[in-house]
Amino acid sequence: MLSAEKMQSIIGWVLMIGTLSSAVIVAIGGGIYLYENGSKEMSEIVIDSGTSFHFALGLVKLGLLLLVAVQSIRVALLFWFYTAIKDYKFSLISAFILAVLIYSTFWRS
Amino acid sequence: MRKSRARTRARSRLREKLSAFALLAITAIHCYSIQNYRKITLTILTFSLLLVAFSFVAGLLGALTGLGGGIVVIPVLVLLFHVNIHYAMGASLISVIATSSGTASAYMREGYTNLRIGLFLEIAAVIGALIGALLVAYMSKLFLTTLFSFILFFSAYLTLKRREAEEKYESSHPWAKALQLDGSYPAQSGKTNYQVQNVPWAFSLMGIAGILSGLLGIGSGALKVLAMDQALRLPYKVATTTSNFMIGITAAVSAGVYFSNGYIIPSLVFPVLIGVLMGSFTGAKVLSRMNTPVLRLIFSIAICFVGLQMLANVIFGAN
Repeated sequence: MLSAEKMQSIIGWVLMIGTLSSAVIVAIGGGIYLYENGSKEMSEIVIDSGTSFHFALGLVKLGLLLLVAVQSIRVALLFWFYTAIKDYKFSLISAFILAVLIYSTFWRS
Repeated sequence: MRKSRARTRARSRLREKLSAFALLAITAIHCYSIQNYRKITLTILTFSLLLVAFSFVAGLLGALTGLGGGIVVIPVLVLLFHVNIHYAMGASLISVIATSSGTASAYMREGYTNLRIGLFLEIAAVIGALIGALLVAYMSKLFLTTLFSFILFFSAYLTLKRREAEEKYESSHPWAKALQLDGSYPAQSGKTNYQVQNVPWAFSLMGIAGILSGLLGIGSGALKVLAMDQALRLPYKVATTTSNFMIGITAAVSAGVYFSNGYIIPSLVFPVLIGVLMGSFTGAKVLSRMNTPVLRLIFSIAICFVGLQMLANVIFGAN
């Protein structure tokens, strides 16, 4: 059976891998962006607010979305863990939080 | 002998950190004066590098206090670089998620985080945030901001006042027993068990934290740490690390809205993310070696700073 310590370390590693890969993607995108635009003046920074597609900034956005998705993944892992050890109170709690997270991702005001 | 050597080493490390802080402060003042008086514009490269440096501090502070990186990121972007408050809030949201992700894995593997408490209190935070978002049209933001800033000052006082080493509890709250919230953590003297008190009180505080963060967009981290420190009577490091675990999830709830409103600007956010992550990794490494009273002091100064920032917003109308 899964122990709580084992689970903590599994979620810890999943979080670490997710966060690092998001950071790498963002760093690559940011690096390309700086290489292309680094010497321009700062006042131009607001122009790229997401309306026009830009490869480097698209990469950054992808990394950011991955970072947000990792938050749902960790709650999903907790749901799986509590269901596996038959702690239904806590699997219900994590299911509720996961539902709110997913709902809010697709919810548009 | 070895102990005193370790202490001198820790002291010199602290000195290094303090001088880094001073250096950053000087750069900040310098940039501010450049921006205001000489009108020399920064290049994107310089701007990004400066932002990485400031975000490093944000991540470090966020990792140690459980507050997330927003308390540094927002004022730096708005006051120093004159970025629109909405874009600054978007960057701050990402910095909170980054701090939480950067620290949570380390804190969980080291056994600080109490996942059950985090999850249980997260229900109240999430429901509160939804209520807050609904109430936003009916509440006076001015009054709330003023009230909340005074709550923060009072909390700083409460945080400094608590002497957890002298507290002893025979048993835990019945809810804590039913939900098995008690746990243990790696204290400096070895693995230590703790008993959880006043669960309903913490749950309501967490709901209020959620409502406030839904209404004002800030401050949920401060009340999370407080609810766990003052109501649940958790060891301080457990409170801050569990708050660190939770704030990423709470912030991710609002991320969808921020993305669709266009508040998250990639070119502004990437230096923040990288700096904050490096800072929070560093903070997570340092935490186990830090004394609780020092952490309490840092936290209190930080929330007083947030309180002052909010009061300044009310007085000067920065919102």
